[in-house]
Amino acid sequence: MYKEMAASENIPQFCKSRYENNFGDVMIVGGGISGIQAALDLGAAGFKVYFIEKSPTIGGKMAHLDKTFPTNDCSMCIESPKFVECKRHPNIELLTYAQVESVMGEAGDFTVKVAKKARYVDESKCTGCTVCVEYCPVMYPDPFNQHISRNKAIHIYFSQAIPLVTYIDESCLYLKEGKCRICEGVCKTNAIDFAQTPETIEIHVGAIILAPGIEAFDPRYREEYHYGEYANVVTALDYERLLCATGPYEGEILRTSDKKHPHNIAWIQCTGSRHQLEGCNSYCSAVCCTYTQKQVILTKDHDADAKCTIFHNDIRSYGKDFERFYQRTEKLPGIRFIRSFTSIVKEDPLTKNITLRYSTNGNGVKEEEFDMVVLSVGLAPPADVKTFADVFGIELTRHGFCVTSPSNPLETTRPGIFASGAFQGPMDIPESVLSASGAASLCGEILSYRRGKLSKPRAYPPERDVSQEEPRIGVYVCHCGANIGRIVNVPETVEYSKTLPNVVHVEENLFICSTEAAAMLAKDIQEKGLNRVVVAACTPRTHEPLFRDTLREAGINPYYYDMANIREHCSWVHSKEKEAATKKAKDIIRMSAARTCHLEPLREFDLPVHKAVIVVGGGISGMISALSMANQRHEVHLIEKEKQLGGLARRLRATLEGLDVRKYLSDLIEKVYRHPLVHVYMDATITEVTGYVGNFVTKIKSDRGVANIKHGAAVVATGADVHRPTEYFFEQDERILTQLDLEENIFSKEERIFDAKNIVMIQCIGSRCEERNYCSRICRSQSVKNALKLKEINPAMNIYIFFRDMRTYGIKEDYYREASDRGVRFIRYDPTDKPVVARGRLEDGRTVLKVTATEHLLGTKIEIDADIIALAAAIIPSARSQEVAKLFKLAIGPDGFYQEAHVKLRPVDFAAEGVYLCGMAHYPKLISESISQAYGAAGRALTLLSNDTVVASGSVCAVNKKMCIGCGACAPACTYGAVQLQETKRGKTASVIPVLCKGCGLCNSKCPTGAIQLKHYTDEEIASQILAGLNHNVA
Amino acid sequence: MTSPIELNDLYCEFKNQILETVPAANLDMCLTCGTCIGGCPASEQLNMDPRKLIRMVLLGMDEEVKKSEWAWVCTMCARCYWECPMKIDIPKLVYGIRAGWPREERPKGILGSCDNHIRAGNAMGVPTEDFVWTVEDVAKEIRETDHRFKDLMVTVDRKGAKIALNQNSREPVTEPDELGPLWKILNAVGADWTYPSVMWAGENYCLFLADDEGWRYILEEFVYHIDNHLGCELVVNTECGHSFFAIYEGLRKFKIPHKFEFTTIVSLYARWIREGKLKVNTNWNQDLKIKFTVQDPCNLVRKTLREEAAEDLRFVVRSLVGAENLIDMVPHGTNNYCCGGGGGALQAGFSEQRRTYGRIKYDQIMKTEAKYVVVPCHNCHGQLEDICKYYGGDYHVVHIWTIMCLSMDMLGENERTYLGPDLSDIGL
Amino acid sequence: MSSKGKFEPKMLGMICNWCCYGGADLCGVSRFQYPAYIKLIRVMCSGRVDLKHIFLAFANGADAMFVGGCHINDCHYNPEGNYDALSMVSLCKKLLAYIGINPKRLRLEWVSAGEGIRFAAIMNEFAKEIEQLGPLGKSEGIKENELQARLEKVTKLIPYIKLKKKEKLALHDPALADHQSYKDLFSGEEIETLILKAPSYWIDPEKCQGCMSCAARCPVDAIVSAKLQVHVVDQGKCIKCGTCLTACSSKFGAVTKITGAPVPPPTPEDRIQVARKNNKKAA
Repeated sequence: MYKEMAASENIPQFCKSRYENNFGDVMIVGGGISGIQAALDLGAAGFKVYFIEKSPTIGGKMAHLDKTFPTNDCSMCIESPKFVECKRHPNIELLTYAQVESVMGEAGDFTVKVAKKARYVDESKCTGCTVCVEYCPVMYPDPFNQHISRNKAIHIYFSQAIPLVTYIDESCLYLKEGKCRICEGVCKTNAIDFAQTPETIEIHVGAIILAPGIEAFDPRYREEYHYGEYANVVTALDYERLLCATGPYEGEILRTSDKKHPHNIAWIQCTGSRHQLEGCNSYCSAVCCTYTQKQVILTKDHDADAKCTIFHNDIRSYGKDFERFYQRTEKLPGIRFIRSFTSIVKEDPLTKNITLRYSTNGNGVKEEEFDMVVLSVGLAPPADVKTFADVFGIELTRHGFCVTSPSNPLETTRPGIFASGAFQGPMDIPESVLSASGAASLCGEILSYRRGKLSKPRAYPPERDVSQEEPRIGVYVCHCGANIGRIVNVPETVEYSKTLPNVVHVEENLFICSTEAAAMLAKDIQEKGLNRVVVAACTPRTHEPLFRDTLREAGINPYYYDMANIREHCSWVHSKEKEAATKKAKDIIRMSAARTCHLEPLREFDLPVHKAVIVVGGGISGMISALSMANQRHEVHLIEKEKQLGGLARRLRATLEGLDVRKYLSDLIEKVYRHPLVHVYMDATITEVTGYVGNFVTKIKSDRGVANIKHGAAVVATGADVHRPTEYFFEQDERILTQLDLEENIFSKEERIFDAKNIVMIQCIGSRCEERNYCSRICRSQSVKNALKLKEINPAMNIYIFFRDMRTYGIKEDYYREASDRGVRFIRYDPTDKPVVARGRLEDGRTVLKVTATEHLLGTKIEIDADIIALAAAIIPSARSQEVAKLFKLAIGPDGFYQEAHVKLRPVDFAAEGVYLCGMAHYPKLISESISQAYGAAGRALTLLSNDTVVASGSVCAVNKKMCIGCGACAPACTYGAVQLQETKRGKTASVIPVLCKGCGLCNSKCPTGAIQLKHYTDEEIASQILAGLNHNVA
Repeated sequence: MTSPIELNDLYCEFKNQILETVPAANLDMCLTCGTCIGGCPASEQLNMDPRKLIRMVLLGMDEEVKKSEWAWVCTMCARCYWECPMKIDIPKLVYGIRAGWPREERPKGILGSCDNHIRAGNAMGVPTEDFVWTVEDVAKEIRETDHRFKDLMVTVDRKGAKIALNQNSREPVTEPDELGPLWKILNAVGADWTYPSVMWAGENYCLFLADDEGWRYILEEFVYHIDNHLGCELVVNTECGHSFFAIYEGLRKFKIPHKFEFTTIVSLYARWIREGKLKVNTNWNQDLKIKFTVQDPCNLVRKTLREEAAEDLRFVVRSLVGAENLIDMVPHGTNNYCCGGGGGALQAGFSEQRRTYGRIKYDQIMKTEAKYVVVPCHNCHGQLEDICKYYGGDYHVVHIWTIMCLSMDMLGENERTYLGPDLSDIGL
Repeated sequence: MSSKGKFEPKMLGMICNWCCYGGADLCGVSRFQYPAYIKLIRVMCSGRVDLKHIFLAFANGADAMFVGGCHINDCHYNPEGNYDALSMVSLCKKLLAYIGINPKRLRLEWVSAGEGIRFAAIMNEFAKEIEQLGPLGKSEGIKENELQARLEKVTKLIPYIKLKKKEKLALHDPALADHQSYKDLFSGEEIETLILKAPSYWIDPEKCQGCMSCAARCPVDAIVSAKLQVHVVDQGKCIKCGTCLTACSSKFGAVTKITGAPVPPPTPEDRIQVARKNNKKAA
C-alpha cells in the first residue's frame, strides 16, 4: 500500500498525514554503537528512523566497557554524547525494551510488529528521580555490572541510560508474590503502573538495519574454566566492570572472594574462541588479544606494582596501531606474555587463589598461583539469534552470524534488510561504526525517492538576549563517577567556586553528561537566570557540542559556555596527589569562570552545500563509494591516477571466501561507466583544492583536459601499494615471488607452480619491523588462500608457511584450520631467527632454494628444498596519499596511512570537515572490509550532501575598523583568503569574509593594535584566563 | 633430534595411518597452543610432551615417533584430549604408537598379562578351576565364621542370574581375603549375581598393549559367554577403571552386538544406597572424624561416565564416612589428574617416570590431609600405594567395599589389610 | 611555595586544540603524571598565541610558559599556523634574553594528539628545568622592580615589534622548518635595533593645527585632542604605529618621528591654543 502511495503524486501529504501514525523510513534493530551510528547518520541524511532496542536503554556492549583500545578512551564518555544526540534527534523515534515480532512486506514497504515489554513505569511520567529505587526492598544481581554488585528490582539500567527512566525487573516482589508496591506510594509523579501490559505496535518502514550485536562467550559452557565455581576466575567483561569507575567497586579492582586487590593476575586468551569443542566457537573473536592488552595497561594504571601474565597463542595485533599497543603493553614492568595455553588446576580452598599449570617452552612445566584469572572471552552471537533471524526471514551462518552477500558484507539474504556491526561476524567498535554508516547508505540507495519527506528540523526555543546583563555564571562540577571524584575533592571545589566573582550558582553531579543532569542544567538556566555556564568535567574535545546544545535548548546562546577540563588535565594526570589536584581543579574553574565573563554570543553560519562530490581513487573502495552516492542522486566525479579503474584489486583473482575478483571488478567498472551520474577522470592528477566543507573547488588535469570541479564533499580512497621486498633474492631469482605474483601465476596456470613439489611461504616481509611498525593485516588470509588453492590443484604438494603469528582473525580462522587439515604445515619463526634461503644445486643438476629455519617447538633445524618461495610482502601507504593529504589538509598517521578523525567513533571521517576516508588508504584491509568502509564513507558523505546547508562555527575573526591601521600584517597570515585589505577613504582597512574564516586566529596574533580579533578566543578572553591562571582573581 | 629435519618429501605415513582408523583424531589441526601440556603429568618425561609428539607426527618424523618410549609413560588418561581446543585425540595417537611397536618388543609386563588373559581368561594366568576353587573356599570360610553370612551365595556360571560380575584377578590370586567384602555387600542387597567362568577377569592388558585383536578376542569371548550361556541382563564391572573402559569402549569400538546392559559397581552402590537397600551409615566415624579423599579413575570418570560417575562416587563415600569427612582433592572429577598407574604403567617398566608422574597426585593427596584415599580402581590403588611409600606419605589406600563393609559392621578381621591402625578394630 | 618549602613554579601552557590539547587529553586518558602546577589554556592554533600573551604572563608572575602545537606540516589549518608559533617564540625568546630573562622559560614543542606520553615527558622535563632555575628574576639576578620595568618596556613595544617584523612573523618556509633556522630568524642586532631605535611620535605644538585628523585615525586613542587645541601624543598609550604621521596633512607636517632622543615635554597649558596660520592671515 505504501509503495503505491509513494509512487503517486501525493507523497508529501500522504507522509505528513502519517507522520504520527507509525510511518518511518528505516527501522534499526539493536541499540548498540552500530545501531546508534546508523540512526544518527540516517537521521542526519533526512530519514525518519524507528530505533528498536530490547534492553531498557540503548548503549549496547560498548556501554559496559571501561576503556577502548588502542587509545584507551573512556568508553562511556565517548559513547554517551551519542545517546543524548539520539534522544534529542527529531528524526529518531526510540523504542526501548521492545522486540520485533514479525516483518511482512518487502523492500520499500515493510510492516513490522514491535512488542513493547511492560516496564511497569510510564516513560512519559518518570522523571528519573530514583526515589523509588531508594525505597525498593528487593536487591538482585545487577546485570549492568555483570551480576557482581547488586541493584534494586526497580532501577535505572545505568546512569547515562537513554531513556533515563526506571524499569521494574522480574525480581519485583509484587510481580512475583503480589505484595509490596512501595514504589507506587513514593513516586511523586504516579509513574509506576503495574497495570501495564506488553503492547504491540505496527510500524511501516521502507528498509531495516539489523544490529543485534554480540554477547560475551559464557565460559560456563566448559567446566574446565571453572567460571562460576571459582570466585576469582572472572571473564574479561567482568573485569571491564571491575576496572570501571561505575563498576561494582567504583573502579577499584577487587576480588569478589575477599574484597582484596589482586596483584598477580593472569589472562587466558581464546576462551571459547578458536575451539572445536562443543559449546565453544571455532572462529577467532578478533578483539580479545587487544582488549587484554588494554586491560593490562589499565591494571598497571590502577596498581603500578601489579604483575600481569598473559597466556596466549598467536597475538593478533592486526588492526591499526595495534602492533604499537602490543609493544607498549609488553614493555611495561611486571608483564609476561607466555605463548602457551594453560590448564586451570585448582582453587586454593582458603586463599581462593587459582593455580595454573603451563608449559614454559624450554623451562619445563610450571605450576603457578595467581590472585585472579581473567578469561579473555570471545564474542558470540546473541543467545536468541535463531529466533531473531526467523522473525526477519534471514539466514544465518553455521556460527550464528548473518549470511551476507559475498560481494557486499552489509546485505542480508532478504532484500531491503541490511546487517550492521558484529552481526556480520566478530569485529571491533570502529568496524561496527563504519558498517553502520554503510548500511545507512544502502538504505539511502533504495529510499532516495522519499528522503526528507518525513524528516523534521530540530526546533529550539527563541534565544534570550543576555548581552546587556551582568554575567551570572553557573558552575557545574562533575564527579565523572569516580574518575574525578576519587581524586579531586569535589565538595571543596564547589564551595570554592561559590566565592568566585559573578558565580551565582554551583552544583555538583555524578555524571553531568547524563540526560538527567543536562535537563537540570537547562532548568537552572531558565529558573536561576543564568547567562553563562561553566562545566567542570572532561575534555571539550568530546563533550562541548553536547553542552552547547543544552544551552540552546535552554534558550541562550551556545557560546556562553566554557568547559573546565578537570579530568584529563587534572584528576587523571595528578591521580597520586589529591590535594594538589583539588587545588588545580579550583584554578582551572577560576580560569574558566574568568573567561566566561568575557564571552559573547556568536552567530553560526549556514553555508550552502554543493551537491556534487568527488571521489579520489578508482579502486574498489572508490568505485563502491561513488556508485552508492550516485545511486542517491548525487553527481560524482571519480578521479583515478592511472589509465584504468580497479586499483590493487586488478592483481587479485579470488577472495578467501571464493569471490571471483576479476568478474566482480569488471561488473563494477561497467556499472561505474554506465551510471549517468558518475564522471570518470583517468590519468588524472589534482593540482589544487580550494574552498571548504560544502564548497570545494578542485582543479584536475586528466584525459579530459583541465577541469575545475565544484563539489560539497570528497571521499578519499587512494588505496595502497605493495612493498617490493629487498630480501630473499627477490627480483634476482624468478622462483621468488610475492603472494600477489603467486596468485596471478596460479590463475594463469603456470606449470612451474603446478608442478612444484615444495612451496615455501614466508610471512611478515617488510611488516612488523622497525621500518614499518605495523601488521599488514591481509597477508595471512592471502597466504592461506593461495595455499588452499594450490592444495586443491595438487594435494600432494608440500606447502610450508613460515609465520610469526597466524593472524587469521574472525571467521577467517576457519580457513586456517582447513589449510592445516589439508596438510599445509605452519611453522612459527622468531624475528631474531628468520628463515634463511640459500641457492644451491642438487646432485641431479637442478637448482634449488634451500630454506633453513628453526622448528620452534622441537628446537631443531629444518631444511626444505623449495621450488617456489612466496613472500607475504607488506602493504604500504600509497605514494599518492601524501599529495592528496596536503591538498585536502588531511592528517597522516605515523605509518603513513590516513589518520581518521577519531579511531573509534569516526573511522571514516577526517578531522577536516567534508572529507571522508575509505579503503586501504586508511589501513591494509580485505576486499570485503574495503567494501564495507566504502559504503560507510558514502553514508557519512550523505549526511552532509543530503542537506542544503551546513553549519559553520561562529568562532571567526572580525575587524574593529576603528582600531585597524591598514598595516596589512593580517592578510598574508591567512591563506584561506578570508582577510582582505580594502581601500577606504581613510586608507587601507582589513575586513573578514566570515564564511571563509576557519577560526585559527593567526591574523589576530599578527595584528599590532588588536583590531582583528578571533571571536571566542579574543585577547580579552585569553588574557583573563592567563591572569586567573596566575592566581589573579579577575572578573 | 640434533640433525636437521629434512622436509623435502613430507609424507606423514604414520599420521595417515592413525587417521585411517580414527578419522576424528584431528591430528592436522594442532595450533601448538600448549593446553595439552598444562594438564599432562607425563609432560617432559623422556624430554617429550604431547605437543612435541604431535609436532613430530606432523613433520613426518615417523621413525622417532614410533620409537618413542614416551608412549609407554603416557597413561592415555585423556586429560589433554579433554581440554584440547582442536579436539585432537592424543590418547588415540599414543595408542597407535604403542600398536606400532613390534609386539614382542612391547613391555614384557604388559605383554605377558595380555597373553595370559587370552590364554587363561585372566592376566595372572591362573586356570579357571583354581579361580572357582578359591572363590568357593573363601565363601565357605565366610559362611562358617560369620553366622550373618551363613547363606552367602557365591556362584560361577549360574545360568539365569540377573547380574554377571567380573572379578579382577588380583584378589583371588594374591589376596583372597579382599574378595569377601564385595560379596557381603551383594548379599546385603540380595543381588542375584554370578561370576562368569569365561574371561572372568576384570582387567584387560591388551588395551594397554594396544593389541586390538587381543582386546577384541577377550571381549567377544566374554560377551558370547554371557549372552549365550548365562543370559544375564546386566554386566557389572567391579571396582576397576581400565576394565570398565575396556568393555565400555570395546563394545563400541569393535561394534560387538550384545544383549546385556553394562555398568559399574559404583553406580549400583549409589543406586542401592539411594533406594535404601544398602543400610550404610556414618555413625562409626562420627567421633573419629577420620578424613577421607576420593580418587577419580580416569577410565571411569573423564573417559567414560564423566560427572555422573564422579558424583555417584562422592555420594557413596559421603554416605559412608560423612560429608564433612570427605576432603576432595583439587582438582577432581573430570579435571582430575591421572595418578600415573593407568595405561599399564605399573607393568611397563618405566618406574622412575611413573613415580615422577605420580608426584602431582601424591601432592594432591597430601594437601587434603586425608588419612584414606578411597579408590574404585586396582591400578590407581597400586600406584597410590607405591607413591605413598616412595615419597614417604602416611595415607592408606582402600577400595570402597572395605569402607562400606566397615560402615555396615560387616568387615571381617582378615579383610583389613589396607586399613591403618586407627580402623583396624572398629566394629569387631 | 609548597608545604615542603620546595619552589613550585607558576607555569601555563597554551596549546592548540587539534594536536597538543589532544595529546594532553591522551596523557590523562593514559594516566601519565606531571606536576599539578602546570595549567593549560586551549587555543585553536598555536599560531594564535601572541607575544602579548607571553609577556602578560611573565609580568603577572609566571615563571615559565609553554606553547604546544601540531607537528610541523601537520597543522590542522591551511596556513600552517605552527610556523607562526615558531617565529613568534623565536622572537620572544630573543626579547626575553635581551632583557635578561632566561629564554628557557619559554618553550615550544610539537605534540600530536597521539603522543600522550610525549606530552607528559615534556611537562616533566620542563617543570624540572624550571624548578632548578628558580623563580623568575631571582635566578636571573634581577630585582623585582627592575624586572617589572623591563617587562613593561618590551610589552609596550610589542605592537611596534609586530609591525616591524610582520613579514618574518608570518613566514611559512618549510625549508627552514628545523628549529635552528627559525632560532636564527632574528639576530641579536635586529632585536637591539628594535628596542633601542624604537621611535616616538611627537606633535610639534608650533605646527599643529588642531584639526583632529590624526586623533581620529589613532587606533588606540593615544592623541589628546580637541578642536583647535594643540594635540598631544600620550606616550603612555602610544603604540608607535605611526598612523598619526601619515594622517597629518603634509602641509602641516606637525607629527614628528623621533628616534634615539627624548621626546620634548608636553606643551604647557597656557599654550595649547592653536596658532593658526590662516587665522593670523585673517587677523
